[in-house]
Amino acid sequence: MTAKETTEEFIRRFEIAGDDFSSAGSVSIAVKNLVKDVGFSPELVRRVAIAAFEAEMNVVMYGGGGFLELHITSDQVQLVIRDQGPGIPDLELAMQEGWSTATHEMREMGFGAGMGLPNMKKNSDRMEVTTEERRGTTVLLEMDAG
Amino acid sequence: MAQEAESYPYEIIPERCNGCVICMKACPVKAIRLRDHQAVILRDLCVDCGICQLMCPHNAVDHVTHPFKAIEAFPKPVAIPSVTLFSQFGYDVTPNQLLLALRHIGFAEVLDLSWLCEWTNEAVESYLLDHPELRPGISATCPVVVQLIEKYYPDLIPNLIPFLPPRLAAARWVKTKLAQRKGWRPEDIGVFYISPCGARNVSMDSPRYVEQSYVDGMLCFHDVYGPILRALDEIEETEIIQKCSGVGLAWSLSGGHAEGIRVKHTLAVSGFKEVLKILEMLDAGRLRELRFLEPLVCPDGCLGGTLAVENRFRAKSVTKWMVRRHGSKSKVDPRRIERITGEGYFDWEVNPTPHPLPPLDPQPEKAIAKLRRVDEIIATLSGGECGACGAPDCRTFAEDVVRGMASLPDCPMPRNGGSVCGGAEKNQNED
Repeated sequence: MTAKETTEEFIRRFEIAGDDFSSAGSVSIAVKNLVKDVGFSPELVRRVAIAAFEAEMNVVMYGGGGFLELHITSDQVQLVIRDQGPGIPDLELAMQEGWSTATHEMREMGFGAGMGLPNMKKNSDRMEVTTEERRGTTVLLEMDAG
Repeated sequence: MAQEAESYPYEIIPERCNGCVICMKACPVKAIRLRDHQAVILRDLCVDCGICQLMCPHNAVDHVTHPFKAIEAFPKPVAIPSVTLFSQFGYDVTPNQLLLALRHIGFAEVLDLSWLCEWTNEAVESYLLDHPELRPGISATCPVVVQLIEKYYPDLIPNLIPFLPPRLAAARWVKTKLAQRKGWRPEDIGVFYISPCGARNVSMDSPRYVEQSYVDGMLCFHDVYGPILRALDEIEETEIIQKCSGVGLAWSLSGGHAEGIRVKHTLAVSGFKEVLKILEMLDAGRLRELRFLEPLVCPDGCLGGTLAVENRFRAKSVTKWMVRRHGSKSKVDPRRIERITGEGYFDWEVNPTPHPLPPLDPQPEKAIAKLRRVDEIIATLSGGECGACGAPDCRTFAEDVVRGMASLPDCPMPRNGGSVCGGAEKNQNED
């Protein structure tokens, strides 16, 4: 494979409003449609859509708001999701399926199954979580094309 | 009957179109452009919802249906009215009277679709139980939904339940079994579907689901309403020919079909924008708990169809009244349905095919560059969303330019500053 001198990159940042359940999910839909427009495979589009949704919902429910930044190159889709919320005290615990800190109200709405972070991992090729209590959380997800 | 080679359910009438922006702005899939002061429907994008016809202030969009006189071309015209027809005449007119009236105005035979709707419920339910991996199974009765999926959400094609809508299963039955029973020659039979909806016409010229169209013509409610009203005064109700199923009558209303499907969890949605929202969510991998989706693009379901006559809230009330009278418990024998399903009674003859919009470019590298180019162009536009360029909004115009369907000079509005050519920066006005 020859190295590319310049790679085209598309970048867009989306604001995510904390506690805003009415428009929750709209960012991941916009992300899905952009990835579709580039012509990536349906499998890749689906993985990005699911991972983006889980990340977006975490920011809405726990992060107090933040942003998602989408980077698209011909080789991969990269999502950087950041909030300045309470952080994740025990990351290993949070990565366990079924572990959730959802409130009663969130569960009433159908959220809080404890699958967010595990689903992000399942649907990405690389995942990095940087988190600090009271400072916030950054999730980096990469999905390879082809 | 000779059909035109290419005819569509909704068509612009050039003599009446004055090139205003209303239909273009109203189109929910942005399928209309203005070219030389005339509205043009882009057929690759259009899904035949008919909203353009609803909104046009100049009657410049026509629905392509047959006039009532068309039935005279056949020695044996057979009427297949949508069950929605029963909701259009108020509380006191019964389905039996309407069926007799249809015979009176010239049909050799008339079919009550409601029992076939009930059969279809049973068949769909069994299908879903046999395919628990289908999350959800999507009802294919609304032709606009099928087009939406083929063009915009082709990954959902496998979710469509592969059964004919009752109107088509009925038409097929008329041309085969009923013809035999009555001793009629199939070529003498003219099957006419009576429809609240222009989009169903697509079944005829470019048959969807079937290899040949078993339907010879489509009449809209408008065309038969007057003749039926007059006939109601003239008929004597000496026969009971209705075999109405309350379960089937409920199909006129959003949720009517879903109610008859006894799996957890079903969802009924109506209205174009609402259907789009749900399809978007499914396309993004959400709503995995759903087993069945009943999407209908007209508000409140088919009784909100663009060619219906009665006010849809009154039609809703009449439908609920009729369902109570005829009973909402299914009386169908599951074993009979299982047998005919096995015989292929409901089966599609032709599968839906994806017709998605191509990506911005076949090569991802170039597509990404084009995505950026769209944003660059938008930054230079006035943002007035005026439609003067011939596209419904500034973003669509920018996409049209990048796709080679339009060029920047088409926009007559003053530029917003910023580089238009993507090369060297032009002189920028200082703020």
